[in-house]
Amino acid sequence: MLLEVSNVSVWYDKAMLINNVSMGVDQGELVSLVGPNGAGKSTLLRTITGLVAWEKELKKRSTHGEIKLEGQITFDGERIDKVPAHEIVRRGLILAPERRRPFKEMTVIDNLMVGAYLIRDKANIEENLEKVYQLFPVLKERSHQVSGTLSGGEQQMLAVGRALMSRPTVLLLDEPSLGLAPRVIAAIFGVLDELRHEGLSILLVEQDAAVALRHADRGYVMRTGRVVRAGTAGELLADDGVREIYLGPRHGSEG
Amino acid sequence: MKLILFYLRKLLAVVRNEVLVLPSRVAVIIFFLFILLLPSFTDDVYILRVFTLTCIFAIFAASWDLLCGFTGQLNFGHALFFGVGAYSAALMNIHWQLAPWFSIPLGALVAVAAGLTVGIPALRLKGTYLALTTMAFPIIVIGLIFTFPGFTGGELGISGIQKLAPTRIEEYYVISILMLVLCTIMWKITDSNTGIIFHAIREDEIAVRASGVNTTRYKLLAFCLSGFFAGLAGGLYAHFMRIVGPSTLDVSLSFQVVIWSIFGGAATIYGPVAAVFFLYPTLELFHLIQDYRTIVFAIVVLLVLIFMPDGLFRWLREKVEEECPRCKVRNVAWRKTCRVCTASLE
Repeated sequence: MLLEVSNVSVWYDKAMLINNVSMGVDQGELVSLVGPNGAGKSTLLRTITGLVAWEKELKKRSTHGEIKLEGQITFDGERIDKVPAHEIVRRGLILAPERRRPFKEMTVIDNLMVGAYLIRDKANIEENLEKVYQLFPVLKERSHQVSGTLSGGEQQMLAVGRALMSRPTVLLLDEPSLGLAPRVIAAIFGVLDELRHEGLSILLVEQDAAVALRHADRGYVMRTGRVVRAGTAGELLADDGVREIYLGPRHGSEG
Repeated sequence: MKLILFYLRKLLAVVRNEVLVLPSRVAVIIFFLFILLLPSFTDDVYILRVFTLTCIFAIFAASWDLLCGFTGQLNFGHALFFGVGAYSAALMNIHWQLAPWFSIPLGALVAVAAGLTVGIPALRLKGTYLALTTMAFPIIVIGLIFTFPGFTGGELGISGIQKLAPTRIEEYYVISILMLVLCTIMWKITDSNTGIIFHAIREDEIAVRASGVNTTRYKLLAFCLSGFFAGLAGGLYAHFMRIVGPSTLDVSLSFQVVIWSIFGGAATIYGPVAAVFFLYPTLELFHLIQDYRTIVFAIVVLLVLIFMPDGLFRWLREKVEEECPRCKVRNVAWRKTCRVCTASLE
């Protein structure tokens, strides 16, 4: 596997947020990680990208409790669980964070330039920018607009575009559909399909299991910190148990 | 001769096409000319002295803006860098007989070290906590100064520091030209890629991290750069005043710089510089109404903050210039069509 997470556990103080999770993403795959609120999906992404370890470093001497990390993450055959967050990005594992987090007072183009931080070659940046503009033409139109004035969907496109600016090997997306209209979600997933056909590996975290699995090769279902189901997207879509995981077991004569 | 004429014509063309089209650029040119020509209007020692100090504080205010306006690392103890720069320059000059050309930059490097000392603990703190912590540092240094009066001069400070230049006019030119150069450099820094990252850190540090930037390094860089420029200002102050006392580390100086920057418009560099040039001489002018000086000053500042919360000079700029809705190029507000893409501005 290109990206492999094995037996990872994360504690925030005494709460175990991730409980012995193993999963992976192969070259050119789109893998969806679905599950209800509080399942630990976002935490897992943040663990993979080193942001949890960074937070742990920051909190070391504070009184707000401790973060504990266990397990092993490998990317491209090398262990990355001890590598600092900015270094992980350099290796090609790039996250488009939850709630998009654009730099609201900065223009769209400046936002994208922060994404291109790792690239020194001007022509290369130009080329990636062209590519992002081609995927999301609306960003080109709005390139000099302050990003705080964009709509939610456009901000999500900006977040994905910013992540694409340094040419990731694996793109990690945290809830790209959050708070968006179905039509906009469809547009964003259309782009993800396109990227996947070009051979980009994508790890997608979503609450909306149906949409996420329809576009994926494989999927994992998480609940309260564990992976409770894994399989191809088709299998999971057909699995009634997945619905149960979201809604809880049926009672009495309902449904 | 022909070549000179050619370049002159080229220069004129640049001035006409690039400078005269925007009021803000005209203002910058007028400001530069004013600074450089001031001694030819007056050789009054008092006025030159006021403007020399204004220049020193302009560097100081711009350095605060670089750290706090752009990177968002709220520093309420900025006088630390100023005082450390001033004291280091003074001590090196007195004890090692270093000429100002060496003592000032070396003093600034000591201020960089001070920047690191504040910067490293600051990495763990945010917002109010950071602001309160930074406030403590200059007070600690004042404590140190009082503990070793033999070396630091204690409450009386260090006097008898070498003059920067023989005459007031020369001193004025050294400091004012340095001010123009240093502020231009700071503005260039904020305009560069580094500046974009500073700005992005203020907006959302996690997202910057997620883009592969070592934000720790950039935050420390901001502290160091800011410390360096503030230290230079402090060193210039030491050699200009020829006496350095604990007042260079005073809490009031730390807050003065915050007031200047917010008044002029934080995160612009030009805002704080213009604000110092507006407020510092104005405060001197208020000597005429000695008794009410501070209260009138406070009222002026409060009115500006209430009605122009983004800063006086940014507000002014928004009044006379507007962005073309199509190509985002700035235009004079009274133009009907954009000067580049000819889109209608109405």
